[in-house]
Amino acid sequence: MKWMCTLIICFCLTNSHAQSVEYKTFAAVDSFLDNRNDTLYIVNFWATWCKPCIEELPLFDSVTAQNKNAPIKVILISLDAQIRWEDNLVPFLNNHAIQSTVWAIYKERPTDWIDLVDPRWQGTIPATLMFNNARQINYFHETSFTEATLNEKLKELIHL
Amino acid sequence: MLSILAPALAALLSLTTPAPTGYAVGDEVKNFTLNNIDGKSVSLSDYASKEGVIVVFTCNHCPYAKAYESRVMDLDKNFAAKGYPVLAINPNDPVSVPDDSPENMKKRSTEMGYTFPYLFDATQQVAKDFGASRTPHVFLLKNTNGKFTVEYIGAIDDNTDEPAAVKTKYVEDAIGALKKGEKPAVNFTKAIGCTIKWKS
Repeated sequence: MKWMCTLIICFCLTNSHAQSVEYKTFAAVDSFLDNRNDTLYIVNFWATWCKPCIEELPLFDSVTAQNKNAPIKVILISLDAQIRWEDNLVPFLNNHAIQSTVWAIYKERPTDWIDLVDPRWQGTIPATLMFNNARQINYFHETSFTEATLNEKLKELIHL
Repeated sequence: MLSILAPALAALLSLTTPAPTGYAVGDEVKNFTLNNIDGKSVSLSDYASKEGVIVVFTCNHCPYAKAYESRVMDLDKNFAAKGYPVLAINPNDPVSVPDDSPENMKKRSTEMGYTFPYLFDATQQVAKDFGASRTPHVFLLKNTNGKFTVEYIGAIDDNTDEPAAVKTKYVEDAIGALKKGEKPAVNFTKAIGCTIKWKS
């Protein structure tokens, strides 16, 4: 009986058009942050338990929606603990219509991984890294964004 | 002319080089006095007879602070008798986080049986002086004749989510080194934590 319930749940999940998570090793993320594509990457660090993070997610989805043909890519990196992906992260994404790409990083990482992402990062979330290595754009924002501040910063960085 | 230029230059530099302010390892910590959950005030100078103090900026609401709560309690249980008691400070604005109000701090401390002071940083000046940026955030202080210096800043250990999988206990190791008359091998780490809720 249990396996039948599991089968039905799996069927429902795969048909819910929910945003799925891409699970990455830290090495893959580190490598991605060094890429030299001429694209403005907007990497937001968030977690399901972080209220200010949840509140600003729709702003990043608007950026995704409004820039489908522009060289701009939003990536939402969840810092939910790996042991809580199944119980917290996946259900959250199933219940919220997130448009942007979502990553989660495997727990095995170097102890100085926060500094490797960005030495300016003090470890709080939400935190957003905006970069385009081809144009030497590298901006770190360690606090929430309002719609106004996000749009203002994007306007500034897009014209660099 | 210089009196106009210098502050303007300083302001410009602070915009382009956002280095964290506060104490660095090796800095002397100036005395502070804050209210404890029992209404009595506690000062750093009260610890003049101790070998040092484990200052922990922490709070009630933050899931990361909660994940470390029992480990903070264990630090006091294990090290207060060895000369390094815990001193917990809540730096958050209770207007934005009612869970972190002094009344709720008292509730939590009583409920959990904290064996250490849980101070309320009402003006948030102590958090600013230290350069605390998140909860939890540890500053391990060593006492030399009433002068307190910072010897370690950062995380309690290397695994917030799985205490059983901890490989390195930074604060314990630092205390071990200090007790041998040595400097901690690792004196600065970072971990994910909640932002401090600054007054607006």
